[in-house]
Amino acid sequence: MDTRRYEMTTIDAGTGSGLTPVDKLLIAAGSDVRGHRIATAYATNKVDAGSLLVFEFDERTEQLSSAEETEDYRGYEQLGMPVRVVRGGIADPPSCLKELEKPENVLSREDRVALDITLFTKPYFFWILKYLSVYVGISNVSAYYTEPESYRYSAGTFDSYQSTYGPLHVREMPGYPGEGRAVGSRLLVVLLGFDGQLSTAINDDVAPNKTIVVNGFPSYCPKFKDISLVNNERLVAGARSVMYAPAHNPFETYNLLQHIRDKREDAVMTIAPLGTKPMALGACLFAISNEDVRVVYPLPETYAKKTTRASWRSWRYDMDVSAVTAGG
Amino acid sequence: MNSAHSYKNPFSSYNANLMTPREILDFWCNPFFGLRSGEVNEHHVFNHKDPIVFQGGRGTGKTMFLRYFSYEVQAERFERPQGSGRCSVLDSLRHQGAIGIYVRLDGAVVRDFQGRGVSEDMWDKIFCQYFELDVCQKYLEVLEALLANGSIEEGGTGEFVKGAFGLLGERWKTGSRVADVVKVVRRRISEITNFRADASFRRLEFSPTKAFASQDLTYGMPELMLKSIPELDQVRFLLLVDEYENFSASQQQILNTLLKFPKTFATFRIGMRLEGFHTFETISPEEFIKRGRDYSGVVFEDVIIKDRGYREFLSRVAAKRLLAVPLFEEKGWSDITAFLGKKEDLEAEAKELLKCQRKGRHRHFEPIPTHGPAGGREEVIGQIECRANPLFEMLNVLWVLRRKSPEDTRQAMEDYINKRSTGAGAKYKTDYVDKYKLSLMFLMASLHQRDKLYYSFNTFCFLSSGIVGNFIELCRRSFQLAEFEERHNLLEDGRIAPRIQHAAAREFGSAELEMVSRIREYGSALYRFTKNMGNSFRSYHRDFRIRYPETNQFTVEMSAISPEKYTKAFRAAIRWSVVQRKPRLQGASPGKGKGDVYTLNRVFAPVFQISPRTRGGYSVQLSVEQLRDYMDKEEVESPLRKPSRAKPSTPSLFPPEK
Amino acid sequence: MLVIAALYWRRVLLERFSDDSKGQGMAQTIARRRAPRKDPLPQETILIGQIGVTCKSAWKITLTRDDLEEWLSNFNGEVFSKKYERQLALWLLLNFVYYNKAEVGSLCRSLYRGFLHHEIATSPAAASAEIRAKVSELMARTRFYQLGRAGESSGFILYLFRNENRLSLENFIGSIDRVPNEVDTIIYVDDVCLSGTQADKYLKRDAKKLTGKRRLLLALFAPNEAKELLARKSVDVVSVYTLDERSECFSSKSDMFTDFVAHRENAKDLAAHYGKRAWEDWPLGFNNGGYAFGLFYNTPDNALPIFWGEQNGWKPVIKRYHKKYHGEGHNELGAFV
Repeated sequence: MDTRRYEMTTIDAGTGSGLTPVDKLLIAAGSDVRGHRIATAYATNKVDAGSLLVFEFDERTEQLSSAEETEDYRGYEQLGMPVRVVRGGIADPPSCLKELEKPENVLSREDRVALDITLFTKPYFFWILKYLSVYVGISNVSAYYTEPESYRYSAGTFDSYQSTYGPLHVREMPGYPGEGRAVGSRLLVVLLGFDGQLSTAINDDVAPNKTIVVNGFPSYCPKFKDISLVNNERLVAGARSVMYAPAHNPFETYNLLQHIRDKREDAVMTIAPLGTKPMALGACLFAISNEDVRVVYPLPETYAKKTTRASWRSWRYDMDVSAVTAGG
Repeated sequence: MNSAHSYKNPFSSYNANLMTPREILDFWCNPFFGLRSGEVNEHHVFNHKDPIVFQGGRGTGKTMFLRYFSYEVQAERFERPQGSGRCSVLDSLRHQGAIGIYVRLDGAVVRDFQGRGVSEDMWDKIFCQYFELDVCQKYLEVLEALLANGSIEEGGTGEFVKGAFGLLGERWKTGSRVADVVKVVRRRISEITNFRADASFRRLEFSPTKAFASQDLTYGMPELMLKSIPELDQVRFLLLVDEYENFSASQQQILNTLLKFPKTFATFRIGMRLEGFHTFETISPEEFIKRGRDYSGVVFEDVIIKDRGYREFLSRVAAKRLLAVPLFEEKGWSDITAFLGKKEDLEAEAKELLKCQRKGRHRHFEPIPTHGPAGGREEVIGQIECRANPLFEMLNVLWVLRRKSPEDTRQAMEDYINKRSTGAGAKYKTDYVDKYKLSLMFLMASLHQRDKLYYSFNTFCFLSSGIVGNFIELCRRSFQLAEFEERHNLLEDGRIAPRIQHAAAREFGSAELEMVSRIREYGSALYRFTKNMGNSFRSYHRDFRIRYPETNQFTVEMSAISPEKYTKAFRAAIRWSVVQRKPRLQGASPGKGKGDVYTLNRVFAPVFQISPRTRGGYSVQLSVEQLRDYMDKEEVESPLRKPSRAKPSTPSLFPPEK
Repeated sequence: MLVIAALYWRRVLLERFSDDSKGQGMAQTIARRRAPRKDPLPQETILIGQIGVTCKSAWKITLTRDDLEEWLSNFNGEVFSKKYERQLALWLLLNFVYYNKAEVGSLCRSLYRGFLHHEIATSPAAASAEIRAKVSELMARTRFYQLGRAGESSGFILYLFRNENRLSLENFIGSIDRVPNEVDTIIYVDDVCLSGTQADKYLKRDAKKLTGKRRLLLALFAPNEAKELLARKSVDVVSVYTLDERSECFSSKSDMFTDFVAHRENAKDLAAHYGKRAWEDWPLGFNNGGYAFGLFYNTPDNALPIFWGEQNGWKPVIKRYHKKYHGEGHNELGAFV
């Protein structure tokens, strides 16, 4: 197996240290304060970001309920960068394909692209990354992510954390159906998040022969590692083992998934990336380079509007997707 | 042995999909054991020629049931020594009647056959292709297993392999084996999977190497196997298709066509949720499937909730799990009733409730007017008090409110206690033992602003509502709480206190209520409905005149519900076991005409503080307007929430919500 | 009647004032503060339930209801009402972070991987073969060593570190007296490095014997301040957790009180008041650390003493093995030896 050095850098939004010049910066519009932090850092520190490709979702625009929120949502308009808006349905990533294929939005394999995954839903950035790597042919993508300072618990206790409302539809992430092999031991790897209802819905739907639970540990904040276990208590009690991958490190998450895969070569692997976005990024990289791996996700009727507070650290992850696809 | 190390919760991990074949066998209890004759048994399931559809709510044991009949589990069963001598696995299966092919497509896969600019028609064709290949793959998996265990000789499969290549549209080469057929099938499936992946990123046409219509492989493959492999002579196949409700209406049309036309060598056993059929149509416009004519139906809850039979079933399920814990096995603790208690002890519960009330011991007397025809309240209390049994006191209050004199009430009570053969004593006994005891406990708890406790094996049987998964979860939570709260009692004495069981039941009920809001499309409406209906029942339980004891069922005219979205929502409620239909058409209330009677899933009973058992008697009759209100409004006024006839000085009959 | 009433109140007052050693007095009784009305803490039953699930699912320890009640009996209403004190105590305990054995093992693995990344990140090596060669070469000239004295937790962590990362014994030294010439890097491994001053002390002690050699400190937990302090002494610190103000129980950024800001100062007062009993020297933990975490093998003394203290009859809920630097180090000899 080839070993690569991974690049993972903290960003100083004040000085711009850690930012790299790009031709296109892809962000998702949203009223969360973390949403435009990176784009703002580019603008303020005059680091070349080329043009801004902003993904807007009707479902989010409809949720805006105050002038302040609208101002935050449209904050990208004040950055003084060339902006292109791509519209799509939040539950249907391929719906933005038409917009991406327009001449003014189209991406080429020579473009230096950065993707701020902070406000994208996981199915969306999974789709975008595969689109960029496999269909556009871009080999290097920088992914940015800004951690929240804290999470919101509606009733104060950890088990009151809720990120979605209404019914859940467990779906395959578009573009990640796996191999479709029905025989063989079905292995489900769940990257734990805070919302226990999501993992239960997935486990019931996929009905694997074996479930491996991966806790984000070390976690952003020490206590988070307990919260995910407590809120997923039922799944954890039934799972045969709990493994760990650092919550902020996609590359070590990739390593762990590879390790799991190596130990169970004949299993049909499904991943449910319910944990942090950096962990999901690692799962995405892994799934892109292992096409027989399926990725599933519970799509809700509605996403909770605010689940976090403020911003904490920002990171840049440099991803060499082409090298990964060489059977890494 | 160190108890800490030899103990684990006997009821954790009970998802049948996660179980190995060995575990399925170890934990297997036939849910239809102990039924009256003519009902479902193993022989029937294996041999009945027509399709059988097994319906049941989440957790009723459908997957466990279907998997039991699968090749993997039966092979495991016959690989264990069976008395003297051993038949081959194949011979045993042939003798049994059929080989079960377990088929389950998870919801995520099934839901992926849509969108991305591809027409619905095309997706249906692709789905049909996928289903045919998936089932074909399962047949081949069994064939490979039979080759591996020596039931079939590899040398005898040549003709089959050649035929299979032809069936799959692949050029046959000399020396090809069954494993090569498997590879071809996988390639065909990959064509579909690759299409599904690529269609997310660009416009594509689906052009498979060979297109398969319905039945081509589902029936074509087993037919070929039987014709060309000598050892499979006279073998039949059962296609055990689980979670049928996951398929969309158009997908079910394709599968319904298969159900309508089974073969002598292959038929179906379907597992699905209640109301899991989205359509009864087939791919032919004028053909549809009909229960009785094209398939027989078995509803788990209807069949297995039969008092003794169901209890025995749960008892056996629990016993197997308890004995799987080394500590309990060592101590021979396999009886769940020893841990939970056989049934409630309402007298003890009432006394315990009053013990915790430092002040207000007489709160349950408060419905008696301060100054009434029978005299002042304190005077009346003096006459009807009975410290030895607070439930007698509660009944005495009821009698006084029903205008019986305190003296006569006391006399009747004493006649009953002293077993005197008097009319009054007999009436008292009827009221206490047969009619009102549980209602009295509910009322007393509510007047003291405390919860009525839910505990005992009997109560858990009721709460589980015919869903074995619910029973297991109630036990799991009880054991989990007991391990933390009263570890010594659990591990050394083998018992779990009623308050702990109640905490578990309440927690589970609340969690299930939250899950209602997650039901696809109708979650929010059904959540409101459940809360409103539950609160409505609660008001009946708090009626101090107990005019309608233990009211916990309702009627509604399904055919009258409109607009359609409410009908669909109500059907979803049944499908998801939020609401359960009573097994037989019964009178909505004594003297009323027959109709469908429904209950809320009993698991919600602790949340709403209502009776978990079936009394019969009065049913709340929901009009269509009321049903709509219950689904649309956050809070609906309960039918009994009206001012009492007591004087203004009496306290509120409905203590404030906690 | 008046006499009876007077006698009654005399008795009440006598009971109140009789035990001055607990510092109870009329002034304190009157000054007992109320719980804030806004954003009340969750009810005791809910907190206890959550702690039960946490013990089972996350901490993997057996903490029974009785154990919990015994600890809660410490809080007898000296600062606030007993009910509120119990709530505060339970809230603090619910937010305690306990690292079980598997998690500490995982921390050791993360620490090693963090170390490798730290070394490789600045290396020009790019190709896979070059990276592997670089790692081999690094390990050949590196030795791992414990920080501090024999018998301290560093030695224990070093053992776990070796096992979890399947490292050869050759990579470890028991003494820095005779370090081979080809070794140019000494890696100290420790669990908790909170202020950095203690680490600095030990590093200074070893400095003379390690002239010309590069030194690194790998610590499971270290805040930025400690890292900066040691960086000034030319010792790079690689840690798994860089503790920040969110981990300090009573800081303005404390993660524990984001939803219950009004209770933060009350919780601090509670911890300080009873902490004085549990550990007289530092009621809020060594150097006023104010942390709430522990590892399966021990609890750092920077954590709040109300969790682990044992002085003055205080009943702990989490175990701590206190360091004895001098004196007889044995338990009670018992009737037989």
